[in-house]
Amino acid sequence: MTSWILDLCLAAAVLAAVGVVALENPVRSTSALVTCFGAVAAALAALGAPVLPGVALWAGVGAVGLLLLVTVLLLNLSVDERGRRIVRLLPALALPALAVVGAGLFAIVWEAAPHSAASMLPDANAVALAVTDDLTLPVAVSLTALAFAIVAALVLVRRRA
Amino acid sequence: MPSADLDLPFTLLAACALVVIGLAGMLLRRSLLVTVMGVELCLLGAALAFSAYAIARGDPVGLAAGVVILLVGAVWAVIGSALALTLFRRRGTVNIDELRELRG
Repeated sequence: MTSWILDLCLAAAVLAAVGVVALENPVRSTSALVTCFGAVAAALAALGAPVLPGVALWAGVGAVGLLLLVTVLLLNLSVDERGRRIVRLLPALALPALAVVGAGLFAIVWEAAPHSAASMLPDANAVALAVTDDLTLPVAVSLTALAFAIVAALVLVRRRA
Repeated sequence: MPSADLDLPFTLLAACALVVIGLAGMLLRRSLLVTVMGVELCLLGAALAFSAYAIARGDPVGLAAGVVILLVGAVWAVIGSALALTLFRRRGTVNIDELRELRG
């Protein structure tokens, strides 16, 4: 029953991602990014994934989206970038190459996909155990990097030019 | 809970589309903030692909990897926002084509 909800959420996520790149106003781009994160979180919930929809909402909408939105509003970029060419012309010629990269990426990903689905989904306890047991070092490194990034960001922003 | 509703081809296709759209944003747009958002889209696509694999295989490590990828995305957003604010304060713009100091 949830298959059409999953497809709808994924289509909304892709459309919002196109909006991030295509919209000229940075405020609208950031809003599209927040929408994309929300749609992916809804898709993960429709898939039945534990933990990850909440993390996507917390990290994507709460942290990334709001942080970038506040930055865009602080810089008032819709005025700053007005009248300038916002799209690079030469790299736009690379669009066919990007299409080929996308097709190749999907071929690789599809080749590695399992042909039969598992009968049971992992529950939240199993995910938490995997975070603390199997991926201890990556999680510790990413959390340390997050702490350092916040401190470095504060130092950068507070420093006078 | 059985994973009978998993539409793996469309999920993987959407994940690849997110990665390619993020790459396009990084290549085509001049604003540093949109470049940061492009990287976020790439990371989001990777997290979605990891999650789809994990659900298809019934493996919780893939979901944990998705959590790590989303954490890395948060790190990148913090760094990118600070860079954009600093760049705008020093140069008055976030247009990455105007950063020419290291150009030979």
